[in-house]
Amino acid sequence: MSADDAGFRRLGRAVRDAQAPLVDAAALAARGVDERSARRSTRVGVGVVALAAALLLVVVGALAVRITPPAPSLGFEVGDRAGMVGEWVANTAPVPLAFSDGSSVLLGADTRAQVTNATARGATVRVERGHLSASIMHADTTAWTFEVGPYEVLVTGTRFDASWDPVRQKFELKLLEGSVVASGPQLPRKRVVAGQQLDLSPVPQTVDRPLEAITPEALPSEAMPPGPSTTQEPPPPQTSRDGVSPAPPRSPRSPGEPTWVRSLRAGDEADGVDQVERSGLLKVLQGRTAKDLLLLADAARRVSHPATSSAAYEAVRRRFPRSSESARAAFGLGLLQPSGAEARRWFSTYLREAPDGSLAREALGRMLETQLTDEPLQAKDTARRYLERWPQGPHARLAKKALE
Amino acid sequence: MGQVVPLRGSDGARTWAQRLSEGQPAARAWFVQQFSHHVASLVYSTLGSRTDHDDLVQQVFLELLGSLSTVRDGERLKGWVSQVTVNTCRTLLRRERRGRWLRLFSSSEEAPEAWADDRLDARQVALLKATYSVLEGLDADERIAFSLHYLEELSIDETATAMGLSTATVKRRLSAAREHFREAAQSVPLLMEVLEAADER
Repeated sequence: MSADDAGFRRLGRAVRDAQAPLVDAAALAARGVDERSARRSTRVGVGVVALAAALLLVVVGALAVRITPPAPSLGFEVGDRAGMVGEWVANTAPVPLAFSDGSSVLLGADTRAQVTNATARGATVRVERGHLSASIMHADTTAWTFEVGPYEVLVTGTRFDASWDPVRQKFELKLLEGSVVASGPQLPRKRVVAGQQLDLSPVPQTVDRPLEAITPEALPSEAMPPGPSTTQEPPPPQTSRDGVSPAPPRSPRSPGEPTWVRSLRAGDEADGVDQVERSGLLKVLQGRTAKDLLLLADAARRVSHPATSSAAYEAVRRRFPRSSESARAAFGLGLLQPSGAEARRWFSTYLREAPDGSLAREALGRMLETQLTDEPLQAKDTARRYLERWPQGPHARLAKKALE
Repeated sequence: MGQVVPLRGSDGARTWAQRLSEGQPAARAWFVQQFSHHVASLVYSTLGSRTDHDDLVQQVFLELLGSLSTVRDGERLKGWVSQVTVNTCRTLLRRERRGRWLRLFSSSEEAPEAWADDRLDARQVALLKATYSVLEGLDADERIAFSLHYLEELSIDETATAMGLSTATVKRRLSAAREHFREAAQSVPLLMEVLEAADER
């Protein structure tokens, strides 16, 4: 690297560090706003095409038939007052939503929901948390959508109960009449019919009655979260499957320690991560120590909150460069990557920054795993390096196989 | 926001590519979460601070989400995201440059106090203003190549992929960008101080 190039790299790092808080804030804003508007936009896009087609038909059809006015969108009441599209409803007591087509949705206590869209054919109801009982009037053109947490339930006419618990990441759906099509995490598009009940949570399970296709075996195995299950063996005492130590045991409470740190140290990872996400991730990313951020990042990764986990690891890398925690964050980022190439990049970063670190063996083993399918030639080099240092290591057998 | 399970290895990447191309809501949520920081950072580095920054990020995501059905290769997902983001920024830079020339004044939407922020100290604000002021004077491709390589720390190969150029062309753009940047930075002591400081590493 020339001196000139080094100077520009130094400038780049300084600029990047300086604008990091602004980028973090923009990214967090984008996560909420972009997803919602993108979903709306997609629907609008489809709607525009449909509208264009409809207009063409109208022009042609108007030559022969009288144009009928479009049907009005559904109206609805929240309790005893008029409801508005986009308005959040969050009551401590149950509250009914009564729609003008005769459909009704009863929101349970402590449920937070909104009607995000209403057309002549139906509405879209979004549930951020809580429980609902829906009774939807059936017609040939009925089209209702329920967005329950990360799950989507498409309805043409039916009665069902659904709930979403964001803390436990638990989704329940119980069909009383008719059928729906549900989709979301762990759940490819699937028709659910009357008499079936779906229960998806960190411990995947289906409950009762003939759930034919909706069994854990029917779900894609790679979608299964790494959470505990009744059939799994307990984790090894020192190192977990991904090579990173599990949450440390409960430690004495430190003065000024936030409750989320205490929750994580006590092993309640879902609760600790949820507290951070609710109280403001950005503040945590900017203010906490590298150790706390690693604690958060590891926990978020284990409870399948990749965005929070990734943001915390990245904050460690940015705020504490050249520290041992920064190298450790690189390893964590490697574990998070869906792409083998990206994962290798981070494991390689870890090995460069902490060649004798406690996770070096695991990092090289992980690199080898991904190279076997993507880069067979490089895999041989990695295998040799691995066997030279750790001939009895957990990836030794794989390394020997790579050299055959 | 939908929570999805992070998958590992190339099989995982292919699975996500499949899910994205099918338009699964969970995959879309994962996609936005996964790349929001990358897109926001690319837009910042390429264009500087602007009042319409969030709108631009939004616009990029709309384009990305609208094209998800074409996703086939999860391994190249990040490169594709970078490419779409860079194209959007490049189109904007070129349009604004044409408009500026025609109107003989800047149409940049940089906010008057664009970099003023409680989280930044005075030196950081000065550094950001000076850097982006110099970058403003570079040709669009030089500016983007410089931003991706030095601010975003993308390799030459990654920069080439994001810009849809050959590595040789990217090297030429970078060389020109360095030369032009250094020329303009001569009159800015803060920039020269950083460029010529002894390397800490």
